[in-house]
Amino acid sequence: MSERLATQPPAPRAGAAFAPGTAAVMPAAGGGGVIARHPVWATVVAVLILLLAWLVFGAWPAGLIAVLGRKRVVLNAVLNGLTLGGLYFLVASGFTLIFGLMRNVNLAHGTLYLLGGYVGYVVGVASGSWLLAFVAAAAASALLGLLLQWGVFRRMEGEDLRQTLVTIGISIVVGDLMLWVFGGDFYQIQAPDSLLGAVKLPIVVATRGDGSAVLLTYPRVRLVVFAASVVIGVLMWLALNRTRIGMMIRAGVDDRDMLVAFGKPVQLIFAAVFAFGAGLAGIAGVVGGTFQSLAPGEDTHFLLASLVVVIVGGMGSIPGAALGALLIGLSEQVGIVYLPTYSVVLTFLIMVAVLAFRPAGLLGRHVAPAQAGASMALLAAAAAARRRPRGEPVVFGLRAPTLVVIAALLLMPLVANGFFLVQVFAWSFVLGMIALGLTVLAGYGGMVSLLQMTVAGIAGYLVAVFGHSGVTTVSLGWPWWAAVLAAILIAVAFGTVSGALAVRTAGIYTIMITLAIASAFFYLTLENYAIFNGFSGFNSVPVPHVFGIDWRRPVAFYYLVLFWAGLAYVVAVFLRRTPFGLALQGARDNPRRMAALGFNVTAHRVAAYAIASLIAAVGGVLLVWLNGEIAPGTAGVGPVVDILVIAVVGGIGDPIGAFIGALIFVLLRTFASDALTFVGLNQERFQLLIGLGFLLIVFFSPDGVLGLWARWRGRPRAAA
Amino acid sequence: MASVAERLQAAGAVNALELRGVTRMFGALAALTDITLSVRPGERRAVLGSNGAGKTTLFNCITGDFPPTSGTIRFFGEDVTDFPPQDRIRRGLRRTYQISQLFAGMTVFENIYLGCRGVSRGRFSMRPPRRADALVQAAEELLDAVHLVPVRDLLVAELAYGQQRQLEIALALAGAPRFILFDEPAAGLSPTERSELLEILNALPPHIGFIIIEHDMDVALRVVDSVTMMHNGRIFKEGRPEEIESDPEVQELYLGGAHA
Repeated sequence: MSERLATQPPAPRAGAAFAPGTAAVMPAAGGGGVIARHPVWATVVAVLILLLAWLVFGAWPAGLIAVLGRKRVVLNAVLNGLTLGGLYFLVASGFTLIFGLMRNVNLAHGTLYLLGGYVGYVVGVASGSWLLAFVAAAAASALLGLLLQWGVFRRMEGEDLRQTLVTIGISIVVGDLMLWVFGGDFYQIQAPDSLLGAVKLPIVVATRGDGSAVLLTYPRVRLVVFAASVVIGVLMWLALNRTRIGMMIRAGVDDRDMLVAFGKPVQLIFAAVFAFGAGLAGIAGVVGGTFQSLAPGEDTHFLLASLVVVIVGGMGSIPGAALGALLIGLSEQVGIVYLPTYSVVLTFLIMVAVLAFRPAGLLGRHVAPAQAGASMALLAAAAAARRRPRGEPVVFGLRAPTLVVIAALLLMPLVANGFFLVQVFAWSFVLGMIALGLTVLAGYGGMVSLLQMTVAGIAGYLVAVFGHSGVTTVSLGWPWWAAVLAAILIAVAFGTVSGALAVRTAGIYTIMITLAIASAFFYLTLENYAIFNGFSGFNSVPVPHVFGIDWRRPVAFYYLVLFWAGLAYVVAVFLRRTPFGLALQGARDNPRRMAALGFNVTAHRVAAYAIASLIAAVGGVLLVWLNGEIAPGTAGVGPVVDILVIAVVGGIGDPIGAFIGALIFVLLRTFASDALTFVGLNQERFQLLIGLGFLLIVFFSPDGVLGLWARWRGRPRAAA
Repeated sequence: MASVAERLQAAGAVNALELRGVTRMFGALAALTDITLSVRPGERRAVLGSNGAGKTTLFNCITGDFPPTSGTIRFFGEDVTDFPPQDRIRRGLRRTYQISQLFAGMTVFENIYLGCRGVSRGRFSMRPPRRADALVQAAEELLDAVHLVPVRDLLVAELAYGQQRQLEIALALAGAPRFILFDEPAAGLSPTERSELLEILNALPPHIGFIIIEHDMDVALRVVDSVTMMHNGRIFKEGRPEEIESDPEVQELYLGGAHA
């Protein structure tokens, strides 16, 4: 037994997080015994409960109002937070259930939510029944969930990175299909009359002049839904921990083969759990459609909420999801009262604190930070497959095809017009640079980070904030070089610190954590006007005149971008042969052995984030000059994922893949509308095209276009 | 060999390795219970015991792969209990793994070069290695010492099993080791490879001590000065090889356990 334990790090057993012992939020049985055993703690808890009760039910003295604000406002925010937490729990518990039991990271979970909402809306309008809307939404989402489980997760068992990439592709495709059908409008689902209106709660918020009490009123439907989510949560927990089926599910997580050997229908159980988790997301969609509204973008919003909730609460733990959902719901709503436009920062800080002190989440089980990422086998294989034979010169001993490409790029302005130079090539080089950082991180280091576009966005924003822009109320008007330097420094610092948080866990967690951080920045730029100028961002960001050259002119700008992209490429290629690069690749393949050779694996990984951030930051400065403007959408969730798409489509095994992927992406984006019109589709279906292309690549060529090319030339490079 | 260890100790050297009350729990399971153990510098010791006795867990606690749940570990007098693995390695501790832990996608030379780089300065160096570098020379010498020169530029994945085991040992010899933990280095080797292994172990400079986990008594007892028997996570008996070999309790337990 100990031999087995000794030769492999203890695998995170999220299933065990369902065990009664770790369910800290469940009330302990036999309260009398607890009080007898912990008299001091029992007193502290009792005092806290009394204090809380007084805060809720008592009349607030003026001093307290001066500190906290008016009682009605505060209590309303708390109730909003609690009920929002209930909604978050409904979405996140399905995500965490699927992740905890099957280790499947389903980034199409938000899509299941929005699909459920839309289906619920249609059925609700057609039938006039709110309850029927729930049934239809649950059924639709469960069906899509079953398709995912059968078509993706079961087919790619054990390849968790590839599974996750496929779910990203599916969320792009289905998201665009839903946009096609439902358009960009807002939909609201009507609650039945019996649930409309407000309830008077027995909570006094103020007293009138005549001495009568003013009671707090609150929408009935929100309270009902909150109660329902509590019931669903408790039932889920009981089903997992107190029933035979639950026991079988938990056993299947720990040892699938053994359960199969016992003759239990494991695949059936897993499919059922997947359908259930997906169905919950669909139900949440109807709830969300009633509370709030349904619109494109809500899928990402709720996916991200789920990610943050499970990161904070503990991945795979149902009680953790409950705790996380309440914390995040409360912090968002209370944050709006005390920190308007910065409330997302509060959420972000909670996540950072949890990652820093309890990387596995508040109620999650410890994950060995240096654990070998089995999920990275794909990347490692892709990288190993593209190794050059030793001794072949890399940087200066250029081969003929390389020379031809260099010459063509240098002479391009002779043949290409300004449109091509800027809209196609400059864009490709800039996006390629940003993706190149990901190639360094993922291809060499095995860390699939979604921070690249965010780091670029920060650099771009700060160039506008420190330097010049059309928004003179915010821009500080520093000289261009000072603005650029400060922007790059701050962006790199942000990327490095975020990387240091992300490396506290390994493997597939990286993608979840970096996506959560990236989206926090997006929502911050959207809400915040003091620094980021909110929704509209910055326009008229000038390209500086230096050395008497107007760098805004297409040819000059082309060479400027070509220079920096080429430099970044050479650095990335050079890096692979350096001791640092070798150590990074070693840390990707076998972190435990690297530590046993004397390397500090964490330090190497953080340094890789710093280098990738530097490349992205330079790319971000070029991006804002190229665009002339920057807005929240520049580093929104779509572009953040696009960078991953570019890197994977091009091929993550070689630095040139990033640029090939970027060129394909830009060409598609520039000319897709013509092509789409040609085949009779609306030209707005660009995302559909991108998503389908991404899915095809991930399904058929994990090492991207480069891999396809190698196979086409009949030189199979992969070991397979 | 024993005389070297005794001379070093007589000269006032502290113990190479000193474990006090080391316990390691996996959940409710005690993989190691209250292990107290001292090994002198230059001493060569075998750890024997049936499967599940806690031998590999002992190694993992010493190297820091898994920190002990309680107890202290001193390496040449320094308390390293809370050190991460790499800090122990940089102080001269080395280990091999029972199941080879190599970089399958790199060449043999790159593996050894990483081993040498890990225990020297410049782990973050951005200067590609050159033939004239002292570190490259050291790696080439090590390659020669473990008879892997002919496969220098092959990927590790392409090596035969025995060669991978040799590479595993080479990684433990990189730099200036002071104490090495060998986890079943002979497992799965052919008789010829075994005698090559014994040659390498016997050729180690006398100041380098080691602990070897080995099921094959013939191999183990030909290279060590002392033996520790483990059973169920505890130390069961310690002594000279001939004492342990003739101990009736050990014979019953170990042979019984091995053939069960």
